[in-house]
Amino acid sequence: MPRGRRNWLLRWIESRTPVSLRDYVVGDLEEAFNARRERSRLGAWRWLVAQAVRFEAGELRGAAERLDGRWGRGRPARMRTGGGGVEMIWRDVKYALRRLVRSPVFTVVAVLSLALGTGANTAIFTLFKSVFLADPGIDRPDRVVQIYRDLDDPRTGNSSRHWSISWVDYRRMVEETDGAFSHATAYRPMQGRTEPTGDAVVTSLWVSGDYFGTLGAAFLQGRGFTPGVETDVEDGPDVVVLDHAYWVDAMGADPDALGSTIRVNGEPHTVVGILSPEFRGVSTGIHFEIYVPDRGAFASPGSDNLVGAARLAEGVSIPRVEQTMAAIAARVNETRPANLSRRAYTVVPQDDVSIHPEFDGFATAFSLILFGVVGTVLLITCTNLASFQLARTADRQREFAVRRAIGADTGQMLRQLLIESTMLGVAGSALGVWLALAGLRALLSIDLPLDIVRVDLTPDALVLTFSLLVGIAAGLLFGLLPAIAASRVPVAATLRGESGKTSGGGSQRIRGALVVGQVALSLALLIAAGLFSRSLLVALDVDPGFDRYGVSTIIVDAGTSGYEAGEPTRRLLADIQRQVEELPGVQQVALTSRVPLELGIWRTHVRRPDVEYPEGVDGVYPEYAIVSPGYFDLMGMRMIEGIDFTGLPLADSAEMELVVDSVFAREVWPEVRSPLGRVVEMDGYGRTARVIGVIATHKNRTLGEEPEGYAYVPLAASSQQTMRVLARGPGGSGLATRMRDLAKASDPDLYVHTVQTLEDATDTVFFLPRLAAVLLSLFGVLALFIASLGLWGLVRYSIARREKEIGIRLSLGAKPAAVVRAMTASGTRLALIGSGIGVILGVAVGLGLEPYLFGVRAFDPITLIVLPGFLMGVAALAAWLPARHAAEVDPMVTLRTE
Amino acid sequence: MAEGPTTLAEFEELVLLAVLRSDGEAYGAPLQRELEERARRSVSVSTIYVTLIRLEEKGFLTSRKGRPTAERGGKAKRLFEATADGIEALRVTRALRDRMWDGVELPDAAQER
Repeated sequence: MPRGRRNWLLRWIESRTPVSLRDYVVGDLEEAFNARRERSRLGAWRWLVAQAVRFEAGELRGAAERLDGRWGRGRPARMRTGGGGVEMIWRDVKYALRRLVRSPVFTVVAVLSLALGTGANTAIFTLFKSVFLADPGIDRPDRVVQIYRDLDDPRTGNSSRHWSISWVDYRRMVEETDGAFSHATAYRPMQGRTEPTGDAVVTSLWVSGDYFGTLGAAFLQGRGFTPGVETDVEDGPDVVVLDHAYWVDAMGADPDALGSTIRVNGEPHTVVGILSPEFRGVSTGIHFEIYVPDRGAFASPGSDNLVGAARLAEGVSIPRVEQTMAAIAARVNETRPANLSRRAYTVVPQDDVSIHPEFDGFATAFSLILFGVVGTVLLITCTNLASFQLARTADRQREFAVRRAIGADTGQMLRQLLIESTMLGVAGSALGVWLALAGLRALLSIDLPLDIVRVDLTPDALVLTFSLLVGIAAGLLFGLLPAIAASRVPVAATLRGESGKTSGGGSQRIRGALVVGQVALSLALLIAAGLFSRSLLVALDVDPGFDRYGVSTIIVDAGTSGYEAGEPTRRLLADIQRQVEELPGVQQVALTSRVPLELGIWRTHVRRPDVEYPEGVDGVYPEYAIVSPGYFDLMGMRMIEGIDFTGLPLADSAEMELVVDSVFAREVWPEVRSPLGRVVEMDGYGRTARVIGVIATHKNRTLGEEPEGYAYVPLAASSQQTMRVLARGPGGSGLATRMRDLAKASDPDLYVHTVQTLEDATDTVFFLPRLAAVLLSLFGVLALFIASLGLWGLVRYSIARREKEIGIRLSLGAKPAAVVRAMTASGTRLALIGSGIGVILGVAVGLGLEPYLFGVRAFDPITLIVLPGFLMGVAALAAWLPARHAAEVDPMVTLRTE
Repeated sequence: MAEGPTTLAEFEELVLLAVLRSDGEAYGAPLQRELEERARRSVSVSTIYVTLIRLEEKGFLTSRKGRPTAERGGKAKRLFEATADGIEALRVTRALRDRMWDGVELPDAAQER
């Protein structure tokens, strides 16, 4: 051929000609075409198009088969795609780029919606990774175990396989395990104050034994604690080990930090070690900033407030350790009264723990729910894009036909289209990573009650890989169906200009099915969101037995500020109370050691002197708080009978006042109607106590709990040094700040922290339901929006395709309103089918979520009626908006184009 | 029919005649041109080849591979030649037609086209 470039139409005919006939048939055509072109270019092309259109590939193939190779095998087609695989893909990538640039609107919409869909997944994955997949920075973590004891407490009904151990248990781990462990440690998290960080609350770990040796921690500088010298002794040197992040953030990575002195809870401590940045320790999810030797464990060796951990000695297996611990438990149980619960230990491999074994299960379940949600959002995004792609396929039929004509086979077409959609997916996921991190930063800048959870927001290789894979998967997911549809474009019919009629119907049906799927998925999401929202509303509506609103609080820690326990501390607190009372607008001020619904459990020991307890039982252990007079009134707690604390000073060994709640009264004095005037012994205070008042029971730890007995001890009888100051009055956190300033004014060195409202202080119980409700609602509405967009596009497109039909109907006298109704109805019918499926899905999802719901069942009639109704309303709108245009069709215009 | 296997369908007849007219250079392109210019038949190349293959199967044609030329993009030709059977079949077909035409007078109007 003169030009040297091959004629695409000839190549197309060649691709349809049996190989054995190719040279002869195509050669003849080419010869004739060239001869004609000498006379007339246009004529030659018209002739060739006619040849192409009338080319009967099937008959020719039949004839060639009958020849059975008698005319020779012929040469295989030369065109195809030359070059190696990489070159081929590179060509496809360039081609896809050109295509995408040529339809910028679609490209932008696709990349943005994919960014939302993949970004949501990346955000959840980033959170999940930083809690569950982080490298703990531990040497051979498979050789480390954590030791818990089983709890089966008949007094409280509590039961857990992962309860804390006591100092006594820890000593047994060290002394009675026959060399099963090479290192052992026990630890408990504490919060406190350090000198370089001022009033910020620092999360510390108080450790016994060889914490760093057990974990094989690497140090940037210095060393860990020496057991028997610095730890496990009642009176050792005050030393501290710094986490790397603390050293950087609080001390500006001071090169002279090692060996220097910082104040921890007011006491000077020598820095003996700075950990390497990789070290995270026993809980990958929790960020401990400093480590100090535990000096308090000796004081209360029986308190179950420690977690044990140990490194297995060489050659020791976990089953062997379990046997050893079981043997210890058996020895303990021999000397234990029969009516007390049996001691038993649980050995947990370190690799299985992220925060705490009990919490991990819940957090995993919650993560899975979130992954389900964001996965569904991505799925809806993909179906939506698939639907748009299908519509574009119809518009691009000519392009596909030509590509097929010039010899692209089905595999090549699929590859080309999948590369195009995968590129969109990858571009979306790149933007999604940015969106995810920006969103998470915004989310984490809000004050979360879980601020000790370590969240690592650097987009590391794991996050990037995850995001990339999600992007590719999304691209394949939304690209596959349209690609298959496109590769089936009938070439000859399309080139003859009969497109639209040939494949539109099928792809329209697929698009309809996709819309049904989208509606169903988004309704299921909305129902889940609705259930969580209802659950939150029910929870907020529960009367906790006190008034959470209109109270501002600060925590004053006199102990770490150099005040003696007892009278000096009480005097300081009384001063602060008096000053706060004088603040404008403040109506009431009171003090307490703990407010209800706050994290943390405090128990005390109470015994009736006038009853015989069964052997081994020596009383009850109610939860309690230490409060000042006026606390019940300020909190809006109802006094059933008796009086509030008097606040009178107490002489040594004098009888103290006690207020109990109605449940405690019923549990301890079941035989009398009123416990007023009754006396109990309280070992923790070395005094007897007389009941002077009974208050109504209130929620204490969770909103759904069965009420448990609760006791109140007067501040006057206590040596408690960390107290929460509460003030009822307008101003919210502003008032709390003024309270802090007032307390600091009298003593600048006083440790004042947790400046907040009572509402925030008691908000932890609402945190997860609120987070779930907010996130699910957000994603649910996003899903509904995307699904509506899909429905809108479908109706709009089907009207464009049916303009002629609509024109004919209108010209035959159909009322425009009726036409609009009919078009709207076709869209809403899809939404209705989707809603039906969505309700079933939603109920199924709801049944799965029931353990996480509060006061709401999966068959929540309000949710199941309101949300489908809402969705149908939106869907009808999405169908009606484009349907309106149907009435604007001008019959004359559309029919003239026939 | 008496002559049975040796009769030719109309298009077969045209193609066979075109082969004879092409004078030793009978391959697809000139055959197609012959049919178009002389018989005023615009036919697709696929139809011509399907017919050529059928004629070869019936033994009326033989074919061989020819040389490639530049104007046909370096592709080989398939050159056809009528066999004795093919020429006999043409003769029989023509005789049949002559017998049928003998004594037929057509009205004027139909003669133009």
